Amino acid sequence: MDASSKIIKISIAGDFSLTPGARYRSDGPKSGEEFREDFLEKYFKDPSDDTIIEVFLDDVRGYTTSFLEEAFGGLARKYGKEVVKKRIKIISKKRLLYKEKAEQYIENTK
Amino acid sequence: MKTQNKNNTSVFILIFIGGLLIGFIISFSINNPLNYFYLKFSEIIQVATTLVVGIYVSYYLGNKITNLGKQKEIILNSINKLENQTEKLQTYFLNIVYNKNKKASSSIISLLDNMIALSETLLNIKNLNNHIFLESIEVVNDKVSSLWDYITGDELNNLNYKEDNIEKIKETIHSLKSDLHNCKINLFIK
Repeated sequence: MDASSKIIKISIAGDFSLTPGARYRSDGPKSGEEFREDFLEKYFKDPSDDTIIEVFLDDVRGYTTSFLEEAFGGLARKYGKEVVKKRIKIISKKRLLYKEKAEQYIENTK
Repeated sequence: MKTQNKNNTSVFILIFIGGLLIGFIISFSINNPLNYFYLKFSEIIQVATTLVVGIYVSYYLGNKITNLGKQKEIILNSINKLENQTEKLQTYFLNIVYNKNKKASSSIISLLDNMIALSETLLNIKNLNNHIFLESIEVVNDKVSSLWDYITGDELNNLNYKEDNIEKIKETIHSLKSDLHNCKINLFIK
């Protein structure tokens, strides 16, 4: 992380929803696709943007694997695994599993 | 809960009285077996030291045993909760698969979230010094993670699980139940 990089903090529970939904917008409200497009992608559109995005996973009433895969894996598919790994910091103090899985979805992107 | 506390207190009192008796017997028998009432200054100091050490050791051991008992009680309570939640999970899952119950599909996400929280809390127990129990908790934690993985994919949103996934989930729920039972047994292995 560059010392000059700007840091943006996004809390899924506070800024998005306490009850995140499924994968696509067509599946219903608060989907992984909606979160990715409305909250994350704006920081990736400009290749010179080096903003660090800290995403806080805690305090929601549970995640589906499809939400996490579409939000984080989907982002890595679109903008590249290395770029996403460098700029997205996933934080969870209460549920280690969600953090591990979200990171794994980024890592498994081809 | 009350019975457990009573047991712990009894152990504490027994150790306390035992410590006092041993202190007296050792001091008197070694130093002055024939004269119990006329003690030299050094003997009084020795008796007092033995008493203090006896009290300290019995207090320390009693406390340790009581704390360990309380910790095991909390762990047992958490395992029982996990067992109940596993039963609920099975009901919700079958409701989704066979009745296409949409309400059950949103409840199952928060139920799994609670199960993950409980199993991760159990996994963080470090000071129990019981490897067999800790290994069985790791097995439980892996199965809870797998269930979350198998259940909350795209199939949950469509309320349409593939046959092989249904079987896999049913089997994992079934084996999780017996793993939780093993955890309870292993908790009390010394």
